[in-house]
Amino acid sequence: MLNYIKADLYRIMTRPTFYIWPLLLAALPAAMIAGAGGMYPAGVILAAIPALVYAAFCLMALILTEHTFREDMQLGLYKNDMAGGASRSAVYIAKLITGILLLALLWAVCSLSCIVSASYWLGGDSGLSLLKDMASLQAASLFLRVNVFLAVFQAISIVFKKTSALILVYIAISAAMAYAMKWLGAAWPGLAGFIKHIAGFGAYGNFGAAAGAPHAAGGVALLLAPAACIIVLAAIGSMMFEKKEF
Amino acid sequence: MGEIVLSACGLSKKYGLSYALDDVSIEIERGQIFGLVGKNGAGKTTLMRVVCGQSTLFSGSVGLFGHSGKRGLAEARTRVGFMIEAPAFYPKLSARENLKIYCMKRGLPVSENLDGLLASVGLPGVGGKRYSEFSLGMKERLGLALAILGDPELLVLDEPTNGLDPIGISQVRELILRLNRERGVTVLISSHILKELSSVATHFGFIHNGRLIEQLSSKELHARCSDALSLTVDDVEKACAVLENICGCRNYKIFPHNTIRCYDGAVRPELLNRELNENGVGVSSLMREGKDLEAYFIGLLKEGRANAQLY
Repeated sequence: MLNYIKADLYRIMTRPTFYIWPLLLAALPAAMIAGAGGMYPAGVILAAIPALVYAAFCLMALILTEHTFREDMQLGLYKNDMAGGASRSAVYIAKLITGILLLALLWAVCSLSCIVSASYWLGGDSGLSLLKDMASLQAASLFLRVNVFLAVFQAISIVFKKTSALILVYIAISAAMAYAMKWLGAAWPGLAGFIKHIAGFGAYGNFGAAAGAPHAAGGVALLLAPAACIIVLAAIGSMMFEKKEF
Repeated sequence: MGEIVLSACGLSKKYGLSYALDDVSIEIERGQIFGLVGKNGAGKTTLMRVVCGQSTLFSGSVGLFGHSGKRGLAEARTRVGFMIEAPAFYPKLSARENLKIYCMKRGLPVSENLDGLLASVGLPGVGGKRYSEFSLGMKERLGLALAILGDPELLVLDEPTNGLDPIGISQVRELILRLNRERGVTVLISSHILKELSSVATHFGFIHNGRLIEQLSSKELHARCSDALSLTVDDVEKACAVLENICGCRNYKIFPHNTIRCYDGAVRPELLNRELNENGVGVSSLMREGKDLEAYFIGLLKEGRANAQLY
């Protein structure tokens, strides 16, 4: 599995077009902070950053799935891997881990850009405050929730070949989840809130808000819930991949 | 009997309601070049896909180098090189980069002589060229390079000469024969060019409608195909008398231009020639006329149809 991760990282990171994404993810928050710096108080800007980062990374999860998993599927390359004696589950999990590693790299670049920009445009205290937020358990939970999207996209990709179909299916699942939560909310308010939190289908993340949420009070549960979600999705995807004809 | 490199027992594979493979059993020994012959859709590619794990089985079992089961097969497949259907690579990467990625994936040293490998399949000096810029024939050759990457002990090649020019076809044939001769590589190969297949294969398997209808060695095939002795003489009557009275052959036919075809396999051409000469019959040509692989295959299918009609 390590060989596969290494080969995929080499393939993606030696591709010049890949470097558009870290540049974009570094420039986007920096531009927002620089642009809004003179117009809004630092607190308002800092509070908006997590939502922006979360939204950008949900889209990034889709793009990375394209790079790591779907491209091989569309080009029919998995048959080469199967023929080389690779276990299907190992290939599937390796692709997911590659995606998570790349997301982590991009997350680090984006966080660094946010902190440097906040320090430069909003003052050293704001930079320090953002650094604390970015290093918090809540930020880690937010990152894991982005990875839930990655796992969802990869699992859906086994069945749906077109990106547009993938997005539509994702929207349909989100809508179904929202409807289910509305229904669950009436019956069991606590359970609905929990599902909404772990699946990442609810409101965009907010480091501060997440810390104040009742189900997040446990701390570790904040990480365990999305992590468990990723593992379950990886297991389901892996089983679907086992049955796939190449 | 040599080591069984590939064994398949009772393989069945269904697509919807129809069987792509129906109870196929096959055994390939080390050092053999096994040619798989069949029409389009007969099940050749499906059999190969099942062997290499690209396709899942409905029933039956596959064994490679004595290993079976999911884990055993996965391990054994690292000793096998495959090229099934159209080759697939990353279009924006060069041939060398594509092979380097597969070296990394298979845990082979990246420093492996990839340019030498490319040259061996007829792609010298194009290692830096993008795969998307390759012609159909070059893509086939790169697929072949991937198949032989890591010195496999068994090669599974599905139509490896597709899209190749005559020189390319001859190079592939030479490569297969060289690998078999020098490294003892066992080969399972299918091709539509049956003449080409008959020039490399040591054993043949005929597959039709998902069933393996016959399996034989090239010697057996040769014996079955060489079924007529054709001779042109100056005196047909005398020649027939020699055939009947001296050689004991009654199964012959006379054709125009003083040609006789003898269908008795026991008649030896050198003895017949001597007897004809001794009896004053001038022989202008004497040769064994036989069916080629293609004619044998077509005959086999016709027999199959006739048998099917009987039942």
